[in-house]
Amino acid sequence: MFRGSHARVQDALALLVDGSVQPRPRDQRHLARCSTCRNQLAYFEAIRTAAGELQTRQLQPPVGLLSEVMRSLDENGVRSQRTKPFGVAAALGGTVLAACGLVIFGKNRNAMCAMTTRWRPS
Amino acid sequence: MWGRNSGQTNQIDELAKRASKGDRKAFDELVRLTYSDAFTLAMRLTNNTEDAADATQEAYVRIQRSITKFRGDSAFGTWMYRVVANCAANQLARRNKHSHDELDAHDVVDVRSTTATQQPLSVDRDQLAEALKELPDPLRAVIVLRDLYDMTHRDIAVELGINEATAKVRLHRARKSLAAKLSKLRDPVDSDVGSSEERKEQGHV
Repeated sequence: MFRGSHARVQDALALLVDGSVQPRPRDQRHLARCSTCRNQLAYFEAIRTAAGELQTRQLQPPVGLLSEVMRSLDENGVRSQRTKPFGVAAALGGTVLAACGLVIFGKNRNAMCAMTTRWRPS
Repeated sequence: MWGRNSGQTNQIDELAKRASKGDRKAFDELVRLTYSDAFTLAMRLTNNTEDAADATQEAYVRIQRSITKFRGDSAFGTWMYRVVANCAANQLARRNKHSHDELDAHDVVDVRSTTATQQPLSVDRDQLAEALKELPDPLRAVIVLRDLYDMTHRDIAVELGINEATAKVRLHRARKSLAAKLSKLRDPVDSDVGSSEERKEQGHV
């Protein structure tokens, strides 16, 4: 019974350390009386604490990374900023061109109709 | 999580709010203040300067595209780290897809455990950083996000594109493997503690 609990608790220690898994009552009882498991749990806790402290250690970015990031942001930003004015101009221009086209087409259509009428065999 | 004092965190969150309203200068300043943190996380996840730089760059482009959605409900740093983690995971997947698949196939927890009984409680930070670098990418990713950046299992799973159960299994293996490597670094001759985990990691068990 003790051996079974010991193996199970030993295996679970790496996740018990931060509550990623919850111990069963009998595992808690085992932890209370097994110094080996308690020592190993303390070791996992020490590693986790040290890892948390490691987070504040910044690594040195390569020279030029900031300007590379800024350049890609500029490209991205310029694209999105240009899209709107260009889009509006294109839309306006397109409307004007379409209107002109309709007028021209309308006139031509009348002329074509007249020609067709003229050429229609009587 | 952020590794900064509250004044700096407030300044960053304030810049993020201004940037979300279209203030480009605020966004540029935000990048200047945080890119080193973003790179650090990317570097810890990818273990490769070029990949980390690419992931950082991609993360800021993504952040720029969606900064208007930032409402300040959570800290900017939390959001930024999630985006960086996701970009770094994509970078790793592109670089090393085969390795990911291999690890998934061996995601079986070894019930045999460490045999050492009296581990010293002080942990050398340099040795820990070294041991972290030696972990396979998928194992290192979960332990970095969980133990260094305090992410939830759910967030880790989402950003790494795995399910929560897999995230926990990897964390379990990562912590045991890390403990084994630390023991080996501290005592290279008598390091029985790590043998089974390391053999399994290399696919021999």
